[in-house]
Amino acid sequence: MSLSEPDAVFLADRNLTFLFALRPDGSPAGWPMTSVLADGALTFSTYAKAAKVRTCLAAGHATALAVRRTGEEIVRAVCVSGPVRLAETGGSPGSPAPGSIEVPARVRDRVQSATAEGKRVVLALDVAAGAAWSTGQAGETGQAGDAASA
Amino acid sequence: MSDAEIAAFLARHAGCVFGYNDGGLAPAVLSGTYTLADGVLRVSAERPGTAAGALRADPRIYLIVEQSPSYYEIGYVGIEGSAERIQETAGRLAFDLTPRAVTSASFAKLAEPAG
Repeated sequence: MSLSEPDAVFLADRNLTFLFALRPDGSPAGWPMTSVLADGALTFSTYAKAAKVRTCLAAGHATALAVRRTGEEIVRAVCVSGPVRLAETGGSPGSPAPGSIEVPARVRDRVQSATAEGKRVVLALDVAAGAAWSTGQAGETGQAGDAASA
Repeated sequence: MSDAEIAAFLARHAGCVFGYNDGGLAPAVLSGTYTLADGVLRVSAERPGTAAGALRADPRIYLIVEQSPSYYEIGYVGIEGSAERIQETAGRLAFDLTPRAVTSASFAKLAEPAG
């Protein structure tokens, strides 16, 4: 099952996304990130030395829950799971999701410098399997209710 | 964050996201809510599918509470622990989370000093 058009459109925005992977002992670990869909993968820019990079690459697979919130309430969510790898480059920054936060210019500059210096990498999560579950859209599949296991 | 800041952060929020090992190649992930009373974090999630059975088989959980109203207000608390007293009633999963390790981050310290 491939990603539905509404889910792909949602993931193409820059969204708050919770990335999870299993450690070698089978325990889960997670990190809040920002993601954007590019070339069939959900991409995450982060520092190469970050623990999340080591954990995800060692696991080889990850799950990501991209959300849009109104206050505390999640009004849209897409959960995807698949193989994860390092990408050569990230996708375009994507449009900020509605209500998303403004990143200060000096932070953007610092990130661009770190990227140019090779200190940042892009994790790419293959979403070819489609959403494990999604909510907040017509035809939603609920949480884990009717979906295949992540 | 200090222990006091983490406690205050958790008291300010109610929404969470958590991952668990359901035997797949990657964690299963659900969103939910929590309450904190007498030092016990009680987590619940609607439409949990097979989560209750998976958590009984492997109770290890990683739970995240996050806020991002503005860049310098970004913060999160991550709690690694075990799901206990697992219940599933009328399509709602509930369990107590016994923490084993807590991590946190706050972007507030990155803000430039005023002036």
